Amino acid sequence: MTFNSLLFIFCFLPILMILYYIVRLPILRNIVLVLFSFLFYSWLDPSSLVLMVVIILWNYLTGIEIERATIQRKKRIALISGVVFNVGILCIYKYFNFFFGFLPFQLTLSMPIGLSFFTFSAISYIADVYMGKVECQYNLLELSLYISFFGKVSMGPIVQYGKMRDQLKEREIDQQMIGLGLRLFVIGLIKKVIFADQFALLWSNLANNTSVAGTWLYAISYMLQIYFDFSGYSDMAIGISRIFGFEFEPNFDHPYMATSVQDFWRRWHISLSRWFRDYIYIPLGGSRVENKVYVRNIFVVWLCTGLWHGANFTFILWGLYFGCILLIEKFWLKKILDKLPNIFGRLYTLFIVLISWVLFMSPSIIEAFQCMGRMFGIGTKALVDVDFRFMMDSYGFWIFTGIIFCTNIYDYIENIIFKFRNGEKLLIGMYILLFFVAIAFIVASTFQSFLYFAF
Amino acid sequence: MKKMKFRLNHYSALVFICIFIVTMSINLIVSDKAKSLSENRSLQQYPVMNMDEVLTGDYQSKLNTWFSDQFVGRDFFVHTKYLVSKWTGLKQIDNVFICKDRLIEDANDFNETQFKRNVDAMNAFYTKYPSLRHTFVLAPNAVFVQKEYLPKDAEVLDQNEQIDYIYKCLAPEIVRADIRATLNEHKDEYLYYKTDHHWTSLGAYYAFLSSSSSLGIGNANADNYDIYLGTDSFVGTLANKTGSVGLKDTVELYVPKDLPEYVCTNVSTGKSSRTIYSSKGLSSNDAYTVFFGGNAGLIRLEMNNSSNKRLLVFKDSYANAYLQFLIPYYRTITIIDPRYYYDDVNRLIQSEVITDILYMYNTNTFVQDTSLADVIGS
Repeated sequence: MTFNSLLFIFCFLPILMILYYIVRLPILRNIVLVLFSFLFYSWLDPSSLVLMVVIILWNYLTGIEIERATIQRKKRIALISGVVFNVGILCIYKYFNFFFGFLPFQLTLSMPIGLSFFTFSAISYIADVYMGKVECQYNLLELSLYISFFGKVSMGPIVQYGKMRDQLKEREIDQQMIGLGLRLFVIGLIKKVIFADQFALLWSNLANNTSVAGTWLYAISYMLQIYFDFSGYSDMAIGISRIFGFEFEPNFDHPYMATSVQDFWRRWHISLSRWFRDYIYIPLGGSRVENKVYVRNIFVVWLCTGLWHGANFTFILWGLYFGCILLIEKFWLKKILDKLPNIFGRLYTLFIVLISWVLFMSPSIIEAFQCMGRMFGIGTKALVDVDFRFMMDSYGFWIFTGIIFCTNIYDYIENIIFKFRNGEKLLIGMYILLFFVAIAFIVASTFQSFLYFAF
Repeated sequence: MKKMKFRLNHYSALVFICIFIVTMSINLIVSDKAKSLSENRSLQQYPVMNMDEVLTGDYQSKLNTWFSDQFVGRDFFVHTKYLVSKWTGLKQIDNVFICKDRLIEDANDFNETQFKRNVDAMNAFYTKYPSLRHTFVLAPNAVFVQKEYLPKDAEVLDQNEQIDYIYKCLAPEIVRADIRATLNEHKDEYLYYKTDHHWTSLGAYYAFLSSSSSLGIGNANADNYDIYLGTDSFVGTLANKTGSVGLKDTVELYVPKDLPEYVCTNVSTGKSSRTIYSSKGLSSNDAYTVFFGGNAGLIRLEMNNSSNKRLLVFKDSYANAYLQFLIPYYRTITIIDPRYYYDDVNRLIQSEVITDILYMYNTNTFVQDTSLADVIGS
């Protein structure tokens, strides 16, 4: 199931909310949440539930084993076996055909939703136990809730176990939290179905454009799409979790306002960056090592980050590209950027990130370089073409508002509205209106007029 | 400010919980509809639980479809999306251009292999029946005739070139009735429906006046028609496809003053009538089906007149509005829509003693047609 489907918004969510608020006993609440999470997760593919249960049980036992092991070597073995198990499952589903492309057969497994996210959650659990940050979880229900909770199972955020542990047993909820959560959900929904889907349309319309301006717009539309799509989904996830009493940190913090690439990665998909920082980068020694090891650490982390995003050379190159840029920044560029006004850092970051998205969105490295070439007039003769102007006419409004809302201008607007008498009523009216429009967009996306007998 | 935030959260909780629960209740209470008129399809009904389908996920995906298909106010939401898109500047939805006061369908590109087959078959058909008069009327679409109305910078294929190319591919003996110039002269008139991909009766009227001599029936008298209003609230396929709201069309019927008595038989259904106009079609969701009640594989018109011309028409739906003008000039008109016709044409030509052949298509359909060659090439 997805958050932006009508059945979720107007059946799953209200039914679960009613049940959850009627049931007062914490353990019953957890049972309700886990059952609904299983339903959410396995909605279109019930057989994938088996995998989920196996992962939960394996990590449950691994956690206990790590805790109970008396010598470090045994702890280590238990941890490694647990990590290998989780990563192994991920590899079979996601990377098998990529790594073993030379084999005469290919695996045709359909990947369960959110596999990359919840296996990382599971690793976070056993790693936290291993590092002694937390005790192991003897309560299977609570561990199940941590790994499978529907608010984060499909697309994150990858909340670390240590940060969620205290919320697993019972959670306080009040009207404030519910209101905030619902509002965040609605904001995310608006970002996803109004904005992201417009940019997706624009992007696919421009796929065959060969002019310089058209290719820039093509890349920019992807840049906007991926931000509104992913941050919108994260907002919905965090909002929904809030409704049921979970407090997660934001997953995005205006990434396109970053003043350096390092800053960008502190603002983009924050939970993933932290995961890599805490479970790969720091265990490898982090930055407090000699330069040679440091460079190695950076490349290991960014190779993994690239691979995590997908089984394709474009993603690997995308990760390594960021690794290189971060090294350049650390050793040279940072000193220069620090002396210049912020605007230079911002523009530089936007440019680096835009180029990275070209790599990210292209089906192959060759096509990525062709696209970049066209952005700088290589392999194309036209600077501007009719198609570009038509798309600007059609989507100019959305591009403009999209860019505006990538900044933190919305916070200012909200603060100004708060200065008015009854400002909050104005805001709530605006949310209702935009929610209504978002629902219209969802309904319209399922609309298909058949013309078979019309001609 | 803190107090305001507090109140905002307070209201958010109340308002959205209410919206969710009320919308859910309405949707669960209101009974299912069988069919959507604007989408021209049957809607998913509440699926019956079946363990096999639950395990494969089919049941759940049917539930998803059921909920969105039966969502209360579905058409209203679709119109809302259309209006928001239009107000924010969107100029095109799928292959339909959103123009200031009308919708215009984009031009189709050639289906090269099928097109080649069709023209070859038409040429071969001429060689087979050289003594019959073969005429080809190809209507350009609004996207060409009314291109001034397209949104600024809209890029479309040039139907002018397409039509030239089609003419070039045909055997010289097939008479080409080129109606482009006439339609262009009247391009600011009501030649095409604003909400539908068809031409109006006025468009077909001009086309007829300009093509009558090519058909060998001499120059037609332009004032020879009684014009009747069919409906002024026609909402056509383009409007349904985009969810457009507000635009409406007028369907007019042009009845020749010297109209002979005639019988119109839909051979596929066996039903006969003394008129080609269908009041059922007029009041249906698609008022363009007022002509012949829509498309059918084989329709036969037999007139009570002294003409010795017997016409065989291969056509698409553009012909439906055009054929009303031909009735007085022929003894019989046999109308084949190759998309729904599976019988032997040659036998039909013998038994009907055909004297004239007419191909009547619109360019958008003709460049994509996949059935003409199968019918005339057999």
